[in-house]
Amino acid sequence: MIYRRLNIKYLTTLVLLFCSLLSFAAPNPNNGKTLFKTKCATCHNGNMKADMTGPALGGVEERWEGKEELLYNWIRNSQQVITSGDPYAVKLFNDWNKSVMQAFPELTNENIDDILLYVNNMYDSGCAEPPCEPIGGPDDPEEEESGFNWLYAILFGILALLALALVRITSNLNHLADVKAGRGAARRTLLDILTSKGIVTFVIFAAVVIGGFTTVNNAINFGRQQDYAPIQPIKFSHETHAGINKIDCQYCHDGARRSKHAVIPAVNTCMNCHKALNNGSQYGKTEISKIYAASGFDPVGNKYYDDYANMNKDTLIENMRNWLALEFKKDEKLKEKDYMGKVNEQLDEIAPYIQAPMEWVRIHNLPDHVYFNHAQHVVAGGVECQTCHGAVEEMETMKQYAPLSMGWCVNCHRETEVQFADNPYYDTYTKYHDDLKAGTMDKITVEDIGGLECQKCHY
Amino acid sequence: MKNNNKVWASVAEINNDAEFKKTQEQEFVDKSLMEGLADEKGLQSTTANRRDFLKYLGFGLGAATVAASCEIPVKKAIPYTVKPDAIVPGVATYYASSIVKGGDYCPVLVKTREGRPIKIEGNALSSMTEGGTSARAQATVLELYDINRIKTPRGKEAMTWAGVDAAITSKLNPSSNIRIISNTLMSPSTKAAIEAFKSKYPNTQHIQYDAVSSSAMLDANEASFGKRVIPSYDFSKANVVVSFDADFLGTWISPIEYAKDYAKNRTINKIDGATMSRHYHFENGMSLTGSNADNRVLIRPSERGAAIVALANALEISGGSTSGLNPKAQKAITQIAKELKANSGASIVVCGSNDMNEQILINKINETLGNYGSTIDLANYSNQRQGDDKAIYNFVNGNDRADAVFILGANPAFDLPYADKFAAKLKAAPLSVSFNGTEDETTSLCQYACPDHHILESWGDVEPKAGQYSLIQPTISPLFDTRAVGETLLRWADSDKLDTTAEQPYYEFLKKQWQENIFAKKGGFARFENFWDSALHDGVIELEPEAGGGSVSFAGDIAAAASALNKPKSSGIEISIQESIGIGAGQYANNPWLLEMADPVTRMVWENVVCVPVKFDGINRYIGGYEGIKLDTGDLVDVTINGKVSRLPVVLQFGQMPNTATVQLGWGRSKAGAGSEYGANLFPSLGVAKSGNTQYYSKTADISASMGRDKNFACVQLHHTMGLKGPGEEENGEIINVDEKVLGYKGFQGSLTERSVINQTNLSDLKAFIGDDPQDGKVKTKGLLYKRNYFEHLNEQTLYPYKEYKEEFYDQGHHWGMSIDLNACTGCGACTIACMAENNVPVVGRKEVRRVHEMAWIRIDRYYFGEADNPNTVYQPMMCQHCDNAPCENVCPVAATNHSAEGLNQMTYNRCIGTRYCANNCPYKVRRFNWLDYNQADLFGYNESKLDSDKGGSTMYMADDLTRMVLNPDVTVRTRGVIEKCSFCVQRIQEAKLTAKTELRQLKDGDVKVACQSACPTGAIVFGDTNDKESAVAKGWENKRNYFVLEEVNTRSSVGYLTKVTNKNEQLEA
Repeated sequence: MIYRRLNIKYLTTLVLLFCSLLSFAAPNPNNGKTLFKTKCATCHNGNMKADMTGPALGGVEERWEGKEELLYNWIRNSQQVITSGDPYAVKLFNDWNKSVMQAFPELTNENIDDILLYVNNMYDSGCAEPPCEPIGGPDDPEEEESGFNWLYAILFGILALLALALVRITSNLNHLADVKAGRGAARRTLLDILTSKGIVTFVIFAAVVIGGFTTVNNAINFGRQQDYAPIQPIKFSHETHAGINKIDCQYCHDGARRSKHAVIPAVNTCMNCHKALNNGSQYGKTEISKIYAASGFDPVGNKYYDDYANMNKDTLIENMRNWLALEFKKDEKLKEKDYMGKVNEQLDEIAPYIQAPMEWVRIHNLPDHVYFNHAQHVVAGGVECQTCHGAVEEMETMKQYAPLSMGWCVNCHRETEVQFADNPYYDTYTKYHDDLKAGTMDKITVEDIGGLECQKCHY
Repeated sequence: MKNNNKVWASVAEINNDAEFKKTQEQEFVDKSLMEGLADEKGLQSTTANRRDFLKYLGFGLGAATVAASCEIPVKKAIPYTVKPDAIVPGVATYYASSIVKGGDYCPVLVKTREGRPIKIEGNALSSMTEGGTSARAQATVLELYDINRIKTPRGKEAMTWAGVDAAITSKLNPSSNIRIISNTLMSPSTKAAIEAFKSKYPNTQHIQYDAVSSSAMLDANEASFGKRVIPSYDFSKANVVVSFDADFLGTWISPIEYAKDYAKNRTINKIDGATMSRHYHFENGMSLTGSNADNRVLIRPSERGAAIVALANALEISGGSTSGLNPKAQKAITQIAKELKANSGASIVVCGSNDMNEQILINKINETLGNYGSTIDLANYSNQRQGDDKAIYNFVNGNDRADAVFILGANPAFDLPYADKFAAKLKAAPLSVSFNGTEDETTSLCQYACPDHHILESWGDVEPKAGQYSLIQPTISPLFDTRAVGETLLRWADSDKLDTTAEQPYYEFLKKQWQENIFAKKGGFARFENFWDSALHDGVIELEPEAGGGSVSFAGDIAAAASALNKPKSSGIEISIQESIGIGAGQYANNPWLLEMADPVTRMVWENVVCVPVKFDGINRYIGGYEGIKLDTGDLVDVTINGKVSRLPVVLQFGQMPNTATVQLGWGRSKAGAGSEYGANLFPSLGVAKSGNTQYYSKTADISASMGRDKNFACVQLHHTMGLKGPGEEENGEIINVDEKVLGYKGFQGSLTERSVINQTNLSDLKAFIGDDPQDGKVKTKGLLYKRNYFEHLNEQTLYPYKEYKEEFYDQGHHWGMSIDLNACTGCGACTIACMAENNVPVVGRKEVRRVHEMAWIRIDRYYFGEADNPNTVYQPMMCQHCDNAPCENVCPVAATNHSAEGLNQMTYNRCIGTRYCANNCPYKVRRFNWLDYNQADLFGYNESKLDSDKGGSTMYMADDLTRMVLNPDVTVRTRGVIEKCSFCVQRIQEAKLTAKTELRQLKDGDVKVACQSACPTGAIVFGDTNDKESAVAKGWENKRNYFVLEEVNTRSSVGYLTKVTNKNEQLEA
């Protein structure tokens, strides 16, 4: 967006641009998204199209057309609006069996605008900030970075043009001076200049330097997958689970405290909650049904199938169809011919997981020859999960945060302090304890206890 | 001649062969490499030229670029659907179980990772083994993943269990004469299943035999004491041990148990008033046990009877004639008898012969010495040998008509002296069924194969000794469509004892058996379920030992026995036939780990040999052979035993009696997977006495002159030598050290030509050998302590401030070290196999071993000392010494090997570029280079190694997913072109450190047990933190017997060795 404006403006507009960046105050769908997830998603469906505990929010602004102020008040405290006697509010209340919507007095008008923008975007295009990107989403850091690169490129171009103009001017002046002094009248052509020894040498030198740099850089990065965010079989949202619902990382990744592997949770771990929660805030039944399909859970009978592995697959698909149909009927109050299409659509997605394992795409792939132990870092080292995995609780789609390169590991080992004084294990390091007491050392890093030695990780 | 200094390893070394010295100067011996290359047809017929080379180079670069620029593959991760509670991915789970094969028994803990067994550890709760294991037990995990296992039941072709059940039961009727043939069967539940089978088919007979049999011992004990059993022996209580051909540390009955007890009485922790047991060994060739003896008395195999009579006579037990016994032995026996009498009740006399009369006399000798009740226990007898030679002999050679023959774990078509007759009998039977789990000679002859589970997949039980029970529990679901043999028998018998509706019918049957029989005997548990859980957790259940083992009444007929003995033969060549330490009598021959395990004494791999005596020519050389036949190591000869000719390679063996030879059984199997067609099968050469007992020696043997050289001869003895010295040719015969010559200059560190590799002394000289401690003041006796002090003085003459380094780094935190007691090490080799299993060390095959490319991280060097014609032996486990001043580290151009602050010499595979400078510079010769892709780990399929490339075969090790299941996931699988070596099991160190850190405690001594240490049956290897002054390893280093190998060259190694002490009776002639 930034560069588009830049393309048509001249250098002076740069200043304006920075100003406009600073004073950017329109409704922000990303804020809206966070607010929606924390405040609304418990009762309102994330796709904005289906009803849940509360009505689908898609088209809410049209429904409250002309009564914007009342809508803000409704969201902050619906009971107040109902008592004030607005007919639409009263009707809504009665239609929804007089269930009371939670009050959110802390929301400002700007907050509500953010939410409404997000709701509209989701309703119109299925993502927070259209146009939709398949992976990564709109707040992909790469996008921003490339914007900055463009800025540099344009600056570089302008400076180069200036330089060229200056060269031209000096060359003209020199030529004029030469002519005046009666020296050689033949002017060097552009071709002469470009094929001159100096330029050719410079170009070759630059090519070698840039080529070498690129080659080495690419070679070093070979096999690294920072920001890798593949599409997973289940559209599992860490944001919903770890961020909004604040489920502890180690509740599911229970290997992290006792094993080298953090462990992708077994399907039955999901079932601890999803046996009861069968409707997702964003994708409704589709994604959760995949868990049922993989674990052999019968949502109609609310129990596990007895002999799941040996059951007829068609029967299982039929059971799933019946359940989805039942649920749709309950939720959307639609006519059968309307929802059966949707049921079948969802079933196509779910069917591959029936009696089949859940094949996740591995995101964090350790390079060969490296031994890494989660328990060592999480328990003994007391390192937060986010240190290496980033703010997972904000990731809708999981991605690799760290480069997982050796330099990255080693740098952390150089800087990280060991829980030295608190753990009796380190009592044998008497010299360090003395040094700490004497003040000659202020902290013991992983490096100090041999954390940079080869065989701490390679064996 | 008493000679404390001279230690040697082979004939070539003691003879100072010029060619030998030359090869030892090279780290990478290229002689046999060239030999191998000359055989390669491709190389001779090659027409490649420079242009081809460039083409290949270009293609290689191109291919690598293309391969490298491919997209990163998408990797999938599949979690459990329902995760079992016991499994945490990435954390090992241990199950108590037992490893049993025939009479071999080892209670173990099976280490499993993500549900697959990858390592065997000993079970310390068993009083029989106290956590010790054997090489064979360690190798069981590889056997589980053998690609030659039988995958489904089959008749002429693969069948279902229902199909095979119907087919077989239709051929059986209640009057059928059924013969079940097995080796020693120690399982009470399988025996109960056989009994239940018998109740439906009463004409069933269960015949037990052992390939290497103790049948005569059972006969003798029946005749002497009315009990057809093998007694229990307690070597820890014996001050004098006398063995006639009983290889009790290697193969005889219960070697793990005996080695553990034996070593207890041979460790020395104080110098003043040190005591240890004395061990006399009568034999003709050098067995593992004989090599550990203090005095070996050489007798021809035919003299054994006379020698036993002579001992009986000397103990005043009325005996018979001893005519023909050699006078040296006669004299020795008189002395031994005196010593035995002085140690009545604290001695053991054992005999490995399969002659009932000899065994009766041995029983009488032990009874006279009062050993029953103290060192020998008949009440708590052993079940480890039950085989009855007569029963199988009569079955095969008699007129017994069998309607059906069932083979239960045995391989009689290979390991009987009359195997061909057995095969004919088997073929003639209307029905023949094999329950064996792996393809073998017998199963291939049977009409049906009904494969049993592998032991690591089975439920089962063992009663190795009366009153001692242990459980076998599955550690993995059956990999193939197999079924427990007990269940098969119960199903065929339609027995009501088997609940076929249960999920695991045989498990229920086993539990019921334990409830009815063992639970009733064992007190202390209120409910059976508690008892069962406890038994399953511990793996072993031991009842109170029966009292009254001492009150035996001898009822044998001495006079009859003595007169019926063998008469010695004084002329001609005699031969004795031993069981192999690794592959046993062939039952382990499909296991590449054991095939490549060097025989402790001959150091041969992948085949058997004939051990030929060596004698001094009176001038300056030792020459091998017989009257008129001169033989050298590596010659091929025809060995005639009882009229049967086999061609075998020769190993010149010190301590082999003149005019005798020794050969090993178990080789030459034709259907043993990876072990097929290696060595010669000597079972057909075995003789059978009139009694039906198989005899493991022959009076009528002959050995031909050399028939040429063995092109595949692979003996690791001289592969990685150190400290070698001799007269240098370029130095006018002056004694030089070969290592020094390699370094390029002599006179290094004060012209020390003597290298401290082995220190040994006799118990009587121990005090003088150790000498006075210079740190205590004036030195009167200059011994080991004085020498080490001098070495330390030499080592301190350095520019580098070692002491400062030490204080700053090594004294902080941990400093890992090892202490190895050369007195406790018996050379059994369990550690070498444990190391292979733990560290993913590859097997390379015979051809590669011949090219000095074996990969083992720990080798057991065998040295001789003393008299050349009957020497003593010392075994030295040798692995990376983790030197604090390591020569290898300085020369690596890429710093792929460097030192950690914890004293570990680290090897980083992904940094190694394969210059091999480190291996060249290692004085201990412990670094191994991956010359080929031994683990099939490379992306591209060239440079693969074939196990049987010497035979032109294409068997690859680790080439299939099944075998690869044995790999330890915590250890890198190394590719071609990198160096590797012992890491002190760094993965175990790190694991133990982490456990301590997470439990907020200090690391305790014993938290880290390295693989070789935990496998050792005698506790010879101790590992730990030397900074912890209370640790066992620190105590070992403080032991006055301690020394470091090549201490004088200032490597500052981290492996201490405790001086070997023998308790030799010096009055005896060698």
